[in-house]
Amino acid sequence: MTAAAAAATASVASLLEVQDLSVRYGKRVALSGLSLSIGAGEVVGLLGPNGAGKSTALLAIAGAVAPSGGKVRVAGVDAHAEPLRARARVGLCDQPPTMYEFFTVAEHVEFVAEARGAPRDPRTTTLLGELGLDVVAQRPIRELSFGYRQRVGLAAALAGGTNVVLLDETLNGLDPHAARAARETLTRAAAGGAAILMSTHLLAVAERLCTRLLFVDQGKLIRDVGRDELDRLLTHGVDAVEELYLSLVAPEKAE
Amino acid sequence: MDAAQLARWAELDRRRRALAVAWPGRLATGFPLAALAGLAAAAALAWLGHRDGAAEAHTWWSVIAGCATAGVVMRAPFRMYWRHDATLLARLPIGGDALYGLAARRSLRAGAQVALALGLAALPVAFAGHVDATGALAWLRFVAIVAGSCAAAALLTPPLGALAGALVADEKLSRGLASMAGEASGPPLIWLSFLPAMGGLGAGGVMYLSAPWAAEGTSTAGLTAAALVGGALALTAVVWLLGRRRLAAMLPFATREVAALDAVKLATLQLDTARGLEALFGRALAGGGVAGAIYKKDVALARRRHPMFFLLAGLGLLVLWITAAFAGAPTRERWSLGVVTALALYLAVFGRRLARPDIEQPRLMITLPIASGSVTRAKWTFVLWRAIFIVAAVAPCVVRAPGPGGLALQLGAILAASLLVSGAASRISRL
Repeated sequence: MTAAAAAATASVASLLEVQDLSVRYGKRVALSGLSLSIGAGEVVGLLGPNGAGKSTALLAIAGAVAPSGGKVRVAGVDAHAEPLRARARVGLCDQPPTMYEFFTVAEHVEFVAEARGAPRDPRTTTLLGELGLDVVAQRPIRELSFGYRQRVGLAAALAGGTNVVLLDETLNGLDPHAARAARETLTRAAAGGAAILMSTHLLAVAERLCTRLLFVDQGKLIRDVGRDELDRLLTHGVDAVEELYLSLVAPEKAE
Repeated sequence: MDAAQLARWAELDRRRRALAVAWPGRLATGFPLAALAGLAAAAALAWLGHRDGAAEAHTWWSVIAGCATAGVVMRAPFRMYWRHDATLLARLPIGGDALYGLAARRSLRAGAQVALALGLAALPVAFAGHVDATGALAWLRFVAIVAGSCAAAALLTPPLGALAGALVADEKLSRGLASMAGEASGPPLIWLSFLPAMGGLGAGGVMYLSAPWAAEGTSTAGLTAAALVGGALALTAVVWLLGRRRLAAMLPFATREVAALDAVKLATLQLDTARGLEALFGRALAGGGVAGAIYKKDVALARRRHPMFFLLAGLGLLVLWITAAFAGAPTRERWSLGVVTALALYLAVFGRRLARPDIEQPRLMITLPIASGSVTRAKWTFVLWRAIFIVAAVAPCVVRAPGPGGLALQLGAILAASLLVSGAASRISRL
């Protein structure tokens, strides 16, 4: 295997590669030199205080905001050089989820899947069923409650067989049944080879679902905690992740 | 996703939105609204023709037609970027060709609606009190220039909108142009107002200057109309042939950047608040309390998103001051009435924006302990401040008119009607 081929293989194995990603809003630095790499099957939690740059990081990775510096590669595709190819592989559920309010749930998810080049994908119907959306599939989105909208956003992020799924507080506001269904759907997607990066303040969800936790503060990555370390931490008590969070993030910056 | 697929989904969204509006509100959208507006204008022009003669009715039709055609191009950013679905489309892997095609479809639809209204409005002007073959021929001439001008305006919209969006998105280019403009430079979003405004003035000018042929039918006027409308269509065709691919390629980037500016970036940037006379006026009328705070917020947000009014008012002021200095009666009076009507129409339409996002958040306002009187006072202050620009523009023409009182009365009636509509439209329901 040549060096170039090896690099390409490594690049695809790591579905999402972010190098020195920076975003500025005017003079304000929202994200400063974020680097991370997420492989297929990983569910990575992005933790940090409000205003740490989590949402900006997700928007920049998805191509919704132009970065002022750095590189993003999605499934081996350079997001700057080939934005449309990269976007076809990324699903973003931002906050609030951006949707066609007058479409039915089924229509909106079908539209997103078609935009990603997977029209009439049977997986779309399966996805709606998994997330408990089959009962509201023919209802207009504008009539739905907050929790249902979150689920529609999650379904749209996964529709069309995306390789990289980016979730911004998507699991907030779900009832226990819906939360479990969402966790199971995400676990299945990861098992199917997707890479998932989710920002959340629900530490219990992060502990249970994530294979890695990334702590971000003031636009910078401050700690990368793998599953083994996380498991070790959890043997010290149920609040171990919360304690770690509070020790990493200065009190005046925390919520 | 190709252009046809995107158009199919966009059409479904449009129909769903239209069907969500209950009767008789559905009549106030799209083609029904165009037909109603056309019939109302026809009735007004028939009355004017009966009172002041066919020539006066024709002049008014020309002014209305010029303004309406200009509006087709000026609304480019609202069809391409400032839409409910722009953020979503910008985040999906949708190519420039599909986005460009969608913009063209929406613009052609808007052009067809304006053409329908103007065609109906032209009926009493063409037939001028007697229905015969000459009138029918005159009406066909009206239809020909309306169809040509509106088609040119609609087809000019996507390239101009794409170029304006690309200028907003390309920070480097935008900074370069701003440095060339020096003190006169504005925020990058100004391109989304400036380029469509210039294109709109051109398209409106073509319509206005071609209109004499419709009424007169002389060969000289016909040649002028043919040259103007034909030239506009030819120019549009050249832009499409030479620039379509390049402009379409810019569109995903431009859509993404403008959507991001709206949804993400501007929320974090320092907004320009009221200053100078604008602030003084606000303090005098709205006071320093809650109404004053709402006024300041409205000024800052309106300046960011809707700088078009300042462009149009500046242009109107220039035109009317030159007219006052060099033109005689009745040209001066006609231009005064025409320009003031156009600006007053814009002001009337603007009132609605003061009650809706992104200038206002009605759902937030109804949860706050704010008296409806304070909100009304703030909105009226804003509308009156904008009206001062119109008064300043037309004042020299009124002073120089042979009968200043009569002209002032007519202009005052137009402005008062616009203020009433604007003030009523700026009301937040359920507050």
